Amino acid sequence: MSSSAESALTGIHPRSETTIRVSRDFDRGRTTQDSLREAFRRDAYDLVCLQKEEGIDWVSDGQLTWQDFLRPICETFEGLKIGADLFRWFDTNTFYRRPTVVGKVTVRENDGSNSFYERHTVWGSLGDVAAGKRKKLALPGPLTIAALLEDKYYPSKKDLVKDITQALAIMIDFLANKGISCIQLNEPSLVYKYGPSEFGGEAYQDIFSNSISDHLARSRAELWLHTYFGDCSKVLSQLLKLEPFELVGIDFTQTPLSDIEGCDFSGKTLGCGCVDGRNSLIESPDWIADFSKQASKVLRPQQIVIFPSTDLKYLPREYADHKLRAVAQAAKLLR
Amino acid sequence: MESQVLEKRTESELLPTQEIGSIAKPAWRVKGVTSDASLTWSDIKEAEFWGSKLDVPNYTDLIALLKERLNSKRPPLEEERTAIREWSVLYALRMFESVGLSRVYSGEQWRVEMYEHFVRNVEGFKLLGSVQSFDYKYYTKASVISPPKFRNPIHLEEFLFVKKHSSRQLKVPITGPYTIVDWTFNEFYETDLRNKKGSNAGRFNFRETYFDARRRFILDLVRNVFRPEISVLTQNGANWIQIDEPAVTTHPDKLEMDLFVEAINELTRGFENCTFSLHNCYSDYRLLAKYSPDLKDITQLALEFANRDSVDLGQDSNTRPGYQELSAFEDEGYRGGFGLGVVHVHDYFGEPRGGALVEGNDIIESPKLIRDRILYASKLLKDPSRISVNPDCGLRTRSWEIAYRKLQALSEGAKLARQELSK
Repeated sequence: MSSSAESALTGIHPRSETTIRVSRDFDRGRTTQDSLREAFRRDAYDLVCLQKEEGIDWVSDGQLTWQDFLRPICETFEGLKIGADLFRWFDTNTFYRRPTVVGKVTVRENDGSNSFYERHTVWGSLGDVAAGKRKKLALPGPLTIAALLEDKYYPSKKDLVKDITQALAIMIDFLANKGISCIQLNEPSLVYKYGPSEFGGEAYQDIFSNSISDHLARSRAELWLHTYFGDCSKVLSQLLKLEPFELVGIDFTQTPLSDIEGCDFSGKTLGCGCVDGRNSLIESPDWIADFSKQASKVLRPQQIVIFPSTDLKYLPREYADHKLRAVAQAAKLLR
Repeated sequence: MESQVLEKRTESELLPTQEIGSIAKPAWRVKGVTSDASLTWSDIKEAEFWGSKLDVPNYTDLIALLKERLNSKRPPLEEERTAIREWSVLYALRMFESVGLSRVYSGEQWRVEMYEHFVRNVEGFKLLGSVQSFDYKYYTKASVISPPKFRNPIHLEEFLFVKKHSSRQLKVPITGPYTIVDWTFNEFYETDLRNKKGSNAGRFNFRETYFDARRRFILDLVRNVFRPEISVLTQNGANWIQIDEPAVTTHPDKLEMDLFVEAINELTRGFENCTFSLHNCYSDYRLLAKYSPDLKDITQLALEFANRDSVDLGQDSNTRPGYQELSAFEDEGYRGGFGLGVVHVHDYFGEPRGGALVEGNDIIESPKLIRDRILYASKLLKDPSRISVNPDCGLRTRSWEIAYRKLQALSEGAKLARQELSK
């Protein structure tokens, strides 16, 4: 069993009520862009401070400005246009604006990745608040991006996934050089219980695995892979073989531990998504630690990182922060 | 399969018209009842304009009240708040009646929002805070923290007021139990089950617990809140209730859909003198169609179609793609009525075509386009008596000007369709 446990967040954190008020005012034309930007900066600063105080090991800026999980990527990549219509985000009660592929997908030349860093992370404006801490960012994975957009350009989905993977690889390298220590690729479409599971007869996990193996190398940053909104037991063994990922995360609210007992986590870190990101019920640190310990016994990873099953954006901020504290305390109990 | 009860017709005309629920709260209504937003002359002018245009009886009394509020430095008194709220319902009623709608209601002017209005008025719910819907739009989400209990009637006061002021058929919209449960954190029932199942974290079955807890929640809600609420409404004369269920088909599996059917059937059971309709929109209609014949007491499905349709004139499958899914309901054996969505209710980003005008982000469908939509649906269903005509959903995101023009067109379009059908 692994001897150490760490903690992290999984993706987008909810905005504080103060930021929500300012954003509503901005939406109604009652305040300025600068006021909104400052509200986000302040909110991210408070969130980073909270993570430091609680001892979260991989610190996120909360990705608070992200309107949905795809928008920043669409604004950075060539060949993608953001749609006006709203679509339901999986089976949640949130919505995203579906992008359309109108050309070859690449990172915008010259300034693409830098533009992403400047516009969609706030690390540049937080000073040295996170000094000494490892910074983490979650991105949508190539398969999920391809599965969710409207494609008017590529005759072959495999080529679309390939180009997205290559574009992500460029961005990941850039972000690593900017000091992001960990990039987590979130791939809910790989396992979504209500979604399709193939493009043109080829299973999602095969397209994904091939694209990752061919086009994504290990980076200066740690690369993590996480799936949620569905049971990963049928694809987990295949995902564990993907070399670039040091960590593979599991949404245990969807995947029973008993169904993955034979999976080989040797040499990998387990992302233990046992804290339900879609329920305000706050799990106790003891319960989380107990579950994580049992998961470690069954799966025998080299290390374990405890995090929520999904983004915490589906909760009000106060409850998301309680879950953050519980995750951090649970990891400390296991050390 | 139970035979579908045909829509109880209380009106004599073919193609009755109706609204779905909400219209925007006018600025004078919003500002008039709060202490922290100042009324302006422009707001009062708006009230004067619509009062006159819609021929609202004694509307000058409202104007006098608003002028007094404008000049007053004190916060509004409770009786002033009540009066302003009542006026907003009267204005909404007059909008619906003046365009000739057969079935009307309050425009939901007294409700904060479809979810919050309900949970604020039921015991056992605690509002936790804001969650994002999309962009900079949020809603306040609650958790169920104890078994839900009927506290006081939720919709009765509103119903009695509307009943006093309208002689049209009233259709009372209520947010349905499946949606309430889906949009609420389920702390109480999940905790209860976790405690019963014991503390072995590693053996904890999340999915089974989640569904069991959800089922207990929804059935308790139906039996202990919805049924008493419906009883009170029907005892006081309500004879048409529209159950709004936007969350249906969010989780497209058999367990969830069976749960939805079970909940609705339990809700409607035994209320013999009441018509029940179900409103759903922006949803998977093929899935809903599959389960619709099992809804024992639902006599009308009020659905959105205009959003999916072209804006070209025509009465064939090429020009009316948005209405093809009516066939799915027929194929699955549903034989009840439809509230046919014939006007779009959100921002429109398409091109103006032969059947509509586009003004900014608003589309104003022409009566001829609406006629064509209705006639095509009639052909598909082979029975126009099964059709009522409505907007896709509530019109609360549209200005009053746009809502009024859309409803006028809807009414006119239904009239054109009736003329065609009577030839």
